[in-house]
Amino acid sequence: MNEHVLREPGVLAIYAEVDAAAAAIERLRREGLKDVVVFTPVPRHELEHALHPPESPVRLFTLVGGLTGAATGFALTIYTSWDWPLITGGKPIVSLPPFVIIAFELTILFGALSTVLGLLINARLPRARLRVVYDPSFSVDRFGVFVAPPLAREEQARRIFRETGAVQIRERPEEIRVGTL
Amino acid sequence: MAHEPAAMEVPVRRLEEAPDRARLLASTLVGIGVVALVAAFLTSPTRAWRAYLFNWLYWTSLAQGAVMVAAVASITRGLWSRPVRRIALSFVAFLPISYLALLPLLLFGGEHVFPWIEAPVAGKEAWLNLPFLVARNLVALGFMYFLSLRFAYWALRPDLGLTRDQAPPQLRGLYQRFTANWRGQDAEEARSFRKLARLAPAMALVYAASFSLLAWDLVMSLEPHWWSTLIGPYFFMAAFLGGLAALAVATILYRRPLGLDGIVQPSTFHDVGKLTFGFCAFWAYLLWSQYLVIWYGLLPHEQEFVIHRLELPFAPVAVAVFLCMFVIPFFGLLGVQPKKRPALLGTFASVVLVGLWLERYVLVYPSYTFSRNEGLPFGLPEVGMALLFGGLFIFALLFFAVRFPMIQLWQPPSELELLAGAAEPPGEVVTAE
Amino acid sequence: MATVLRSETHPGIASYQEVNRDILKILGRPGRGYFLLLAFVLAVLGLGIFAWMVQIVLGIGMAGLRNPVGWGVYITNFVFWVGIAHSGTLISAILYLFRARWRQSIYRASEAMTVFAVMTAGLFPIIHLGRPWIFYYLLPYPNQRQLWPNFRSPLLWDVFAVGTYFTVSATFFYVGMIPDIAAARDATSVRWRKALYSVLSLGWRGTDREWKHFTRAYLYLAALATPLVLSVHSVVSWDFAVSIVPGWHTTIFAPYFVAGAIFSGLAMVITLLVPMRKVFRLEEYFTVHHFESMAKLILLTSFIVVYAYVTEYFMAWYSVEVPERFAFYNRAFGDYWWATWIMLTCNTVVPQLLWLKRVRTSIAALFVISIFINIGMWFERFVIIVTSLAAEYEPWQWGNYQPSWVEMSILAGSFAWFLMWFLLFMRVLPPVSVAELKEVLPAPLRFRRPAGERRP
Repeated sequence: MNEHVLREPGVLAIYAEVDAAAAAIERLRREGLKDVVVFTPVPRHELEHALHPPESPVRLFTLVGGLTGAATGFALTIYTSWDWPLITGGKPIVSLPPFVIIAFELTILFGALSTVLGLLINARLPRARLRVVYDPSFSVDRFGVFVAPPLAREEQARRIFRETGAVQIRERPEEIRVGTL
Repeated sequence: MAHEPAAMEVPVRRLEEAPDRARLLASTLVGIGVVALVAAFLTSPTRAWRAYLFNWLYWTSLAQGAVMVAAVASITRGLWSRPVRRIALSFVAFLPISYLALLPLLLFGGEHVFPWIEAPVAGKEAWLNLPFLVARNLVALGFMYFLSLRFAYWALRPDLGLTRDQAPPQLRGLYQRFTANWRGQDAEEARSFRKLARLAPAMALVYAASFSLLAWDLVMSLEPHWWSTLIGPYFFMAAFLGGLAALAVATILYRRPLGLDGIVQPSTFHDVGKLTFGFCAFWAYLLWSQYLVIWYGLLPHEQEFVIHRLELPFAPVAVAVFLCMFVIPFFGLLGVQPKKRPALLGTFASVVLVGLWLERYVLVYPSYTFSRNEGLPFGLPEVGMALLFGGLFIFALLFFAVRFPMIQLWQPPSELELLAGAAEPPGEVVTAE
Repeated sequence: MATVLRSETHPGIASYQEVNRDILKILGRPGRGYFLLLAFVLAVLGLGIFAWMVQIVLGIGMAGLRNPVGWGVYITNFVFWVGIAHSGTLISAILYLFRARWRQSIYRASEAMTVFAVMTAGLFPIIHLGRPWIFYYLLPYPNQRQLWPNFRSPLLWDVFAVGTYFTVSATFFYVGMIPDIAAARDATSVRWRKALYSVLSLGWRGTDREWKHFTRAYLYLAALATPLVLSVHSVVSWDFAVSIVPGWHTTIFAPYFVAGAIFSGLAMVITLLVPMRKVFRLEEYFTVHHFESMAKLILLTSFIVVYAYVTEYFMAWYSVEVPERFAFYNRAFGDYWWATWIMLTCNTVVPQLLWLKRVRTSIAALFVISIFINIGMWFERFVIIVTSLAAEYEPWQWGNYQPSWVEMSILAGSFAWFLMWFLLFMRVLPPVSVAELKEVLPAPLRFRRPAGERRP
C-alpha cells in the first residue's frame, strides 16, 4: 500500500454515523470554520443540508454542449449537401426532416461529452497529485470531515470533533494518511 | 391500527359548496354555448356538427386523460402523486356527460361528419358503415367509462368510510350508499387496494384500445383513403398529455378554495411539471414519427392528410399547435423553477391545453377539404361549442368537488411500507432540485 | 422502531460494509469453471471470425443474400442487438429519472449489457458490406474526391445514431462506475488491479465537491440518454419505414421498434442476471422483487408489441391496397409462415403467463420465458426484413432466402463476442453498483428518528 505521511496542516475526523458527521459540519460552520471537506461513500442529503453548497455549474456545460451539437449538426448537413448538390430520391438538396435527426444525435453527443467535461473540471478530476487527505474506509461506510484551520484554532476543531462523536481524529501532522492513488 | 396516524394526517379537503364565481362562470359559459349551438345549427348544421365533433373529442380527451393519470399513478405506485391523485380522478365526473353527448353526434350527426356515408369507399364498407361504427364506439367507450367509474368508486370508498361520521347531513345518504356492505376500515382499504391493482392495468389496456378506435373512427375515417398505424397511439398519448396539463391547471386553481398549501408542495408541482414536459416531448416524437415516414414515402394517399393541414387556410393553426404543444412548453419548462412555480407551470400547462384544443380542431376540420380561398372556418360555432362543453366540464368538476374528499385520505398498504422503510427514497438526494 | 432498520428493497443487506464485501468479492480470482466457459466462448467466437474471413476472402456471395433479399441475417442481427441494448439504458437512465426503487442493484450489469450489445450490433453493418475495409466511407470526412455522405439516406442516420448511442452509453456506464472503481481500488491488494483501478478511478475520494458535481452530471447524462434511447431504435426502424416496401412503410414503426427493443432487452437482462445471481450468490441484491418488476415491464411492452401487430394487420386490410394486404397475408401463410408463428407465439402468447404472480415471482420460470422472448424477438426482425423483401410489388421479382453456414456461424459468433465482453467485465469491474446501492440502505445514524417522520 503506497501510503504516505502528509505534512499538511489540518485535522481529519472519521465518523461512523452520517448524522454525527452532519452535526460536526454544522458546528464547525457555526463557529466560523467553514473551509471543510467532507468524505462520504454515498451522497446523503443530511450532509448536503449541513453544507448548503451553491448550485453546480455542470448544467451550463450540458446546455452549451447541446446547443453546439445542434448547430454543428445543421451546419454539417447543410454545408456538405450544398458542397456537392446532387438530388437523390426526389428530395430537396437541403432536406430538413432528415437533417433534424443528425442534429438531434449530435445535440445528445455533444451535450453528454460536455457534461462529462464539466464534471471533470468542476470536481477537479482526474487527480494526479498523490498526496491528498483520504482514508480507504471512505469508500465503505465511514464519513470524513477534514478542516484546515489556522494553527491557533486547531484545538477548537478537535474539540468539536470529539464532542460530536468522531470515532477517530487524526492530528496533524503524522497521523493524516494519504490517498492510495 | 398501524396506519391510523398516516391516514389522518391530511384533513378532509372538500368544497363546502361550489364557489359562486365558478358557478356563475360555468352557467354563463353554458348559456352562451347554448345560444351559439342553436345559432350554429340554424345557420349550418354541417359545420355545427363538425364543431361539436372536435369539441367533444377535446373535452373527452381531457377528462379521460386525467383519469388515466390517476390510473397510471396507481399502477406505478409513486408516492409523489398522492396529493394530486384525487384531483386527477375527479375528472371522472365528466365521463357520463361525454357519453351522453356522443349519442346525438353518432345518431343524428353522422351524415354531416362522415364523408364516406355519401361517397362509400370500395372495399371498406364492412368497417366504414354507420350502424357498426355506432355500435363499436358506444360499446368500447361504455366499457372504458364503466371501468373508470368503478375505479373511482373503489378509490373513494375507504375515504368515505373514514369521513362518513363527520359528513355534512346532505351527503350522509350518498356516503351511506357508497359504503354499503362495509367490512371495517382495514379490510376495506385492503380490498380497495386489490380492486385498484386489478382495475388500473385493465383501464390502461382498454384506454389504448378504445381511444385508438376513436382515433380511427372519428379522426382517421374523415379522410377515408388515408391511414396511419400510429394515429391511435398519437391520439391517446396527446389526450394523456392533455390530462396532465389539465391536472396541473386544476390543482393550481383548487389551491385556494381547498386550502392545499402545505399539502401540495413545490416538489409535487415539480413532478407534475416534469411529466408535462416529458410528455410534450413524447407528443412531438409521435407526431414526428408519422410526419417523417409520410414525408419520405412521397405516396399521394398518405400525403393528402398532411398537405391539407400544412396548406392554407389551416397552416397557421397547425404551426400554432406545434408551438403550443411542443416548442413553448418544452423550452418554458426546461428549467427547474418554471416547473416548481405554480404561476409559471399553470401558464405553460394552459398553453398546452389551448394547443390541444387547436390540435383536435386541426385533426378534424381540414379533412373536409376547404378551398384555400375560403378563409379559415373558425368562428362562432367552434368557440361557442367549446364554451358549452367547457361550462359543462366545470359543472362536472364542481359536482365532484362538493361531494368527495379532494385529497386521498387512505393509503394503500404498499405506500405505508414505503413510509415505514428506513431508507430515503432514491433520487431524493440526487435529484434534490 | 426499536429493531435494526432494514432496507425495504434489500431487507437481507444489513450494512454498507456488507455491500462492499459482497460485491467486491466478485472481483476475486475466478475459478476453473469461469475459464472453461470463457474458453468455450472464445472457441465459438473463433468460428465466427473464421466465417467472416471466408466471406472477406471469397466474397459476399458466401452469405445467402441474393436478389431480391439483400438484407438477411446480418441486418436481423444488427436490429436484434441494438434492441437488446435498449433496456440497459431504460434501467440505468429512465428508471433513474422516474426514481424507481428497483434499479440500484441491477443497473450496472444492464448497462454493461447495453455497451456490449451496441459493440456487437455495430459489427453487422460492416460485416454486411461487400468491402468492409472501406467502412470509413460512411463517415463525413474531407476527402480528395470532395464527396460527402448523403445525409438524406437513413443508413447514414444509423451511423450517427448508433455511434452516438455507443459513445454516450459507454460514457454513462463509465462515469457512473467511478465511485465504485474507487471502492475497488481501496479494497484490492492485487497489483494489476490496484494499478488499473487507480487510473480508472481518476483519484476519486468521495469528497462533497466531487459528489455534488457527480450527481448533477449523472442526472443530466440520464436526461440526455432518455431521448437518445428513443431515437436510436426509431432511426433503426426508419431504415425500413421510410422506404415504400409493403410491410415496412408504416408510421407505427418507430415506437413499435422501441417497445420491442425494450421488451427483448429486458428478457436478455433476465437471461444474464439469473445465472449471475446463482453463481455469485447475489440473492439479496437481485431480489425477487427486482425480477417481478422487470416481468411487469415485459408484460407492458409485450402489449405494445401486440398492439402494433394488431394495428398493422388491421391497417393492411383497411388500406384496400393489394400489395399491402398481400404482404401481411404472406407473412402469416406464405413461405415463412413458421417464422411468423414462432414470433407470434413467443412475443404474444408466452408473455401472458406473466399475468400470474406465481410466474412473475419464480426465477426459473422467468428465465425460461426470457429465452423464449429472445428467440421471438430475433424472429420478429427476421420476419419483417425477409418476408417483405422476398415478395415486394412485382410477382416476377419474388424470391426466397436461405441463410448460409457463414451467416449462421457469424450469428453464433456474435453471441460469443457479446458474452466474452460480459464475462470479462464481471470479473474486472464492479458488476453491481456499490455506491448507489447504499442509497436504498438505511444510513448509519447515531440518533434514530422514528419511522414515518421522513416524508410528509
